[in-house]
Amino acid sequence: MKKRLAFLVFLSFVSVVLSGCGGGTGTPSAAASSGSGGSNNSSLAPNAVSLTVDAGPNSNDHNVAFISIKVCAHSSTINCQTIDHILVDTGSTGLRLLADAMSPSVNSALSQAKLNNSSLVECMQFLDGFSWGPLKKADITIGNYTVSNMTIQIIGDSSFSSIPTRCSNTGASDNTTANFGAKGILGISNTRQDCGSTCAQSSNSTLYYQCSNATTCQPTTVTVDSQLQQPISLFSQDNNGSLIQLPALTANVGTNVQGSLIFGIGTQSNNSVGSNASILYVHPSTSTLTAQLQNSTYSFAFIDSGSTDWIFDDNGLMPTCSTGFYCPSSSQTLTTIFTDIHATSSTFNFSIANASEAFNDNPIATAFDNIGAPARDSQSGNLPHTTFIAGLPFFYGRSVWTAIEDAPTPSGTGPYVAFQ
Amino acid sequence: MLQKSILALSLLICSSVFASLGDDESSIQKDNTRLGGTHIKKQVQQQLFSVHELQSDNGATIKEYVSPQGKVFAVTWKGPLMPDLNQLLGQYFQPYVDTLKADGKRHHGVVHVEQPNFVVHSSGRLRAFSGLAYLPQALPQGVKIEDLQ
Repeated sequence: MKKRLAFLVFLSFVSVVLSGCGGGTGTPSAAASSGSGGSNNSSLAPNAVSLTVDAGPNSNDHNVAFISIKVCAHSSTINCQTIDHILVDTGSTGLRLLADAMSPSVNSALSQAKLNNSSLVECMQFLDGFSWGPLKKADITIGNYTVSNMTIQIIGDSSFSSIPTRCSNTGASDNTTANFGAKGILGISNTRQDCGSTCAQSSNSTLYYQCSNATTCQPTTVTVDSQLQQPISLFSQDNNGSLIQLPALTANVGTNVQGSLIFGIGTQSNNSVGSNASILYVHPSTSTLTAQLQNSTYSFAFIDSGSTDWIFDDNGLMPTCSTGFYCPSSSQTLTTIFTDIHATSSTFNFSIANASEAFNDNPIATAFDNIGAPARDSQSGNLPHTTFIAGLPFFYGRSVWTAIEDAPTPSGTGPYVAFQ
Repeated sequence: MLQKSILALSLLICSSVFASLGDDESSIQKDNTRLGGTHIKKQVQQQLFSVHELQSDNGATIKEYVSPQGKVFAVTWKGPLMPDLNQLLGQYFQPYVDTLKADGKRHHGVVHVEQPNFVVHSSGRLRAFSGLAYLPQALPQGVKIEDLQ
């Protein structure tokens, strides 16, 4: 985003101050077991948490990677809760928890984030709907890292049950675990804030609201440092990005697949960008690449752990099923070229199988590396975006690094994605 | 302060424009008032339809396509935040939301709702949304979806 540099200086300063007085802000604790972000086990490195691709809290999902986190009221050891099924999303920024997945006593013990004595509430906009809820302050533990007083969003919190029309007019509501498909989302994208300068400059941004009471809310500007932040960027170390590792699937399917979310890039022996890795610098404001596939160019391409499938149009070459997925009569191998903003390219292959057969043949499987669906951009005119999404299927059998904007790493300064 | 003055001035000058899908062209006035935006381009006459290009107050560029009979048959949007889809889709907004709710599958990365009487296509993500909605039965003769750009 624009005008990032000045803010970055400020953020670094805050981070130093907090770690200097907080006694362990974001500092990995040697006592791994007592940190209990929820998902540590003895085989994990200190800077890693375990990822699980299971059927999710609603027992109906595929290709969603979850971790557990621990949320505590600031400085409390009593008002704490470990929450499982937090979706790991390299396509958004910020930690958000679903109120209905939280203990009411823990939720009510969290302090409300304020702006001019009014409560800050967010209308987070995902493509398929909005998530409304207040910003609160909490001590968040992810693996061995604790960030003190992190700003998080509590989606569907009943204390702000009156949703402004400007918010509900953006789509369907995603305010319950049942609708959201997760008990929370850990947004660890390339960007430091969810909104950035747009929401700092325009009071009509319709993402952030200030509420003088439970039912009276107005859109407001929010400075970038008061917006939701990329949680890893708040760690006192290993804070320049992340590495996701998921094992290759056997015969394209898996059940309750386990992998790792590793913090930092090139900061420890286990998170260096590999010598054979492709490093692609994403667009500074949209975090996108371009992709080429079968002579088509996709201007809005990205690698996204929060998308469940391969999403792209194939010019009608493969049939789709009634479920909307591609259902070719035999598995198709496709070659894609990603190109970054410096014209660096990387080529990879993937396959698309008949999704209906895959689901029917593997009723308890939760991981599929060959499921795709059309973006239908081509059926919808010359939209500004022609979409190619390498969703979680891309991550199986790979290491995928996501470097935060303006964050230095031994391989270069973010924002970039790297994979091998 | 200077920014605020400029914004106020532009709102005064262009105090109204934007319409709902399926509405008469005259409702474009109503739309702009609701979205709090500015009408940054006057109607551009083309052979088969005309286009109103508008700017919403939350930064989206919106185009409304009007048939020779004066009916809004398509809208497109592009911006860092979602525009007011209720205002843009009008009577089709609730059926759109109902269809989204009925489709349990999430995390797809694109939204495509296709009903016999309306189509909504939405893509992108926060900071870079775009979309298009149209009425297949109201496309003026000779107009293809690809023409809406």
